[in-house]
Amino acid sequence: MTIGSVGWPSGSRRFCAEMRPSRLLTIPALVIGLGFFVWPMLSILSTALGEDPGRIISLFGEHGLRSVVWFTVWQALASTAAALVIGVPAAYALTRFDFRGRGALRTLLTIPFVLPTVVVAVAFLALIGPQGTLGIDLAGTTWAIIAAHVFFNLAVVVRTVGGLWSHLDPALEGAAATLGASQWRIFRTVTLPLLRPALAAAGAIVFLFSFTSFGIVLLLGAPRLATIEVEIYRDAALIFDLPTAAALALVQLVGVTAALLVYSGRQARSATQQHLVAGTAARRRPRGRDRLWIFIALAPALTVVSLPLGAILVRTLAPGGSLGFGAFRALAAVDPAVVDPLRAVGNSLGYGIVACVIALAVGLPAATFIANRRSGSSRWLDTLIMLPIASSAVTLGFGFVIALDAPVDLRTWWLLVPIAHALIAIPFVVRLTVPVVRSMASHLREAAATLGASPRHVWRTIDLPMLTPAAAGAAALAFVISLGEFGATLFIARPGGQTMTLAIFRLLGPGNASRSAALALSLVLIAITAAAVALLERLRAPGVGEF
Amino acid sequence: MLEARGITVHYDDLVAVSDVDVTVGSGETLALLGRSGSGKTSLLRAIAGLVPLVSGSVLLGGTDLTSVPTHERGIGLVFQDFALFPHLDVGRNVSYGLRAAGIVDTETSVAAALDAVGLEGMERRSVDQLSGGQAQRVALARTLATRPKALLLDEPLGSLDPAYRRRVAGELSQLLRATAIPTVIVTHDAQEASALGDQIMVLDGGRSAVSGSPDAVWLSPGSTEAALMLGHTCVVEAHSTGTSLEVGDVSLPVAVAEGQATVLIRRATIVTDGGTPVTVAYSHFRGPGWVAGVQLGSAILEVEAPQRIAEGEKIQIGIDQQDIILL
Repeated sequence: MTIGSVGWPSGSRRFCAEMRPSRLLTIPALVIGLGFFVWPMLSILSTALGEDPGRIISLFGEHGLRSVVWFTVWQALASTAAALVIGVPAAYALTRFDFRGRGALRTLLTIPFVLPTVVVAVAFLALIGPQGTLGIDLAGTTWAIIAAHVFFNLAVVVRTVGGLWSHLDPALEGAAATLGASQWRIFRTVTLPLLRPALAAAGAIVFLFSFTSFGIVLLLGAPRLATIEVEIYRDAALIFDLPTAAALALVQLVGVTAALLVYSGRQARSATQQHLVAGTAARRRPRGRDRLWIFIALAPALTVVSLPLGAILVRTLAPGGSLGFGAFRALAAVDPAVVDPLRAVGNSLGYGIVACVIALAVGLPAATFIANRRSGSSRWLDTLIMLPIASSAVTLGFGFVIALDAPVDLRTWWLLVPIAHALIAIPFVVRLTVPVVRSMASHLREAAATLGASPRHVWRTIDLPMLTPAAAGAAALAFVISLGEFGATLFIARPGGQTMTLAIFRLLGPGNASRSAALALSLVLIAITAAAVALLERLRAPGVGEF
Repeated sequence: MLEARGITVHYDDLVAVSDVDVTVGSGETLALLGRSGSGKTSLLRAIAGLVPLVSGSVLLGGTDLTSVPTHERGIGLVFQDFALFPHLDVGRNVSYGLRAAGIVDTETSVAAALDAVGLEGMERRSVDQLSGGQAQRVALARTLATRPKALLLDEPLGSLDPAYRRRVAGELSQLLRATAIPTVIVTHDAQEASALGDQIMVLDGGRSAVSGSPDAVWLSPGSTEAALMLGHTCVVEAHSTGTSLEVGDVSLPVAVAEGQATVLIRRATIVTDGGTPVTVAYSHFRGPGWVAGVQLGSAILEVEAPQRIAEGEKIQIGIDQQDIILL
């Protein structure tokens, strides 16, 4: 890695010379970003507009597509509202009170967010599917989809809203109380307005995830319900209507971009305006009636999270009521031509490692560049890197399929899968490491230089060790993202390249309803994910980012 | 000998340092005095090679270092906030420069360097467990361990408690003399500059306002800014009639050229007879004696007093002709 010579100022920060990182650092990001994101997206655009741009308009005249767009929007809004209604009280209880088990509950509420969407679907099928634990079959209904979205997204609400809530200055509420305001009035006139940036940000993220939801809708909504994402998949992969799929992908991009703009606008504002205090300052031990309120506030969230998790555990480890390995035996008995579990695990781990390496090789140099330059070029790079978030996994996979056939046909290249995973992970890698690079004050490098350390020695002894924890955390995150990725992989995985998520999907597929084998493989995937997340939690630099 | 000639530093269109010359002999200390933004830190950084020069050159022992990168200059710099590496313990911080130079066996040198600053046996201590004074000494030990050929210190006592500062200044002064290399110290405190510097240079707006030995620059600061930086309080606009100097409503019997002038009154004494009548604005104890402040135009002139003098009381002061400096 090349680093510019120490000490020449960038010019923007007076009185403080800083390292000017080489433009070479941007090359990996440019290659990956332009070749594997911008180019596929342009291909979608040209396919959508095709020979007859008017087609797009007429497409939405069709009742079927209009209702798909409408369903996508309203289920996303409903999921967002439900996640906020259930999540905000939980955030309140967890951030305002200090009680035994608080940490464990917080972790429990976070688990669903790192679960692969396919596993979430499996959990809900086990709970409220045919022969589900609860005894009611809601599979194929909007209820199941919304419930799964709430399950998956509660962590976003609890972490984002709770994050800000725990840092609100309690003196403000105290001041309102001394001015004669009642509890309810204080909440309405002080707390809620102060929380608004976090509520909007959390809402935007939940909307985004629900809007682009694929695995959950594909498995829980079948055969009747479809979001835009599912419809893109059906049009492109099942009935080969590429122009319609491309047009829907465009609609998808517009919707996602709008949600992202709301999010980033709120993020920028929430960071600057308020006087925030250390997280523990706002927490107190519960007294008297507090315990009742804590229970009421937490009960819905805990129910939504623990029932599906419990269902998947019970159905896998204790099918028919007694402990046993029947599910794993079913998995071993599956026809290897359909699903080869060991191979799927191997593929997932292999792709995960490669995706992780690519994400770091692209993300770390880019983060170094972005953190050390405040110029236009750094903003452009930042935007380019964040763009894949504005797409969706299915759109990305679809773009790969229609774009990468010329000049060289790359569509069956094994590296495409980890590249797609890396593209989805890179924004997170960059967001996780930029603050760390920024916080590595330039004077430490200067001090090293005045002590006789060459730029290479400075990089090795100062930059690298300080960056390592954040980089390791980013690596674990990229690995987890790759493990759980489903939408893009479904498009681009080649024969023999079946991952665990694809294998689970296949096991649940028509004519092959080996539900218990799917459960067993899901549990394996959960275990691997949990190990990686545990590593991530241990390595993450404290205080950097809420998730 | 450390020489910097015609140093000019720009940040974008801001002139930080403009045509400053510095000469410091071996075993000698130069104190750069100035308020924040006066260019003193920039000058230090320019000497260390941390900022590019628009013009000028840096020489050490006659060797031109202008185009030599920082890490090959052999000039040590102790940063204002010490810049201790948070991921290394005290011992590793001190041995950092030695390791960078390829020295593997650093144990004895580190022990000696810590011993020299009074921190023997602190090798394994984490740097975030250090007090301000300890951090300052670790930073100094870290720099001295590399045996630099010149030493630069940016506000070395800046983060210490005022009560503690004077004592540390004394220790530091001894330590610097023992190193026998050219040293440049940046400070905004005139007493510290006098305590540590063989020479003082006052910087104002990136230029050298005055330089010389501490007593010489105190006696004739040359400019209002320099006078204030050196700790003088009584710099006032005055009108000279040729036979007397009118400052506010006070008339001093001093013969200077007729006209409007800015004057510095260095000192005055209370006299019982034949002095200029003034009114006491305040009086308090400042060890080892009492002082009284009298209003002179827009400024305050402080005089030594035998005891507390009541506010508003009339006294007479005498001012020596040579203690009135036209700026």
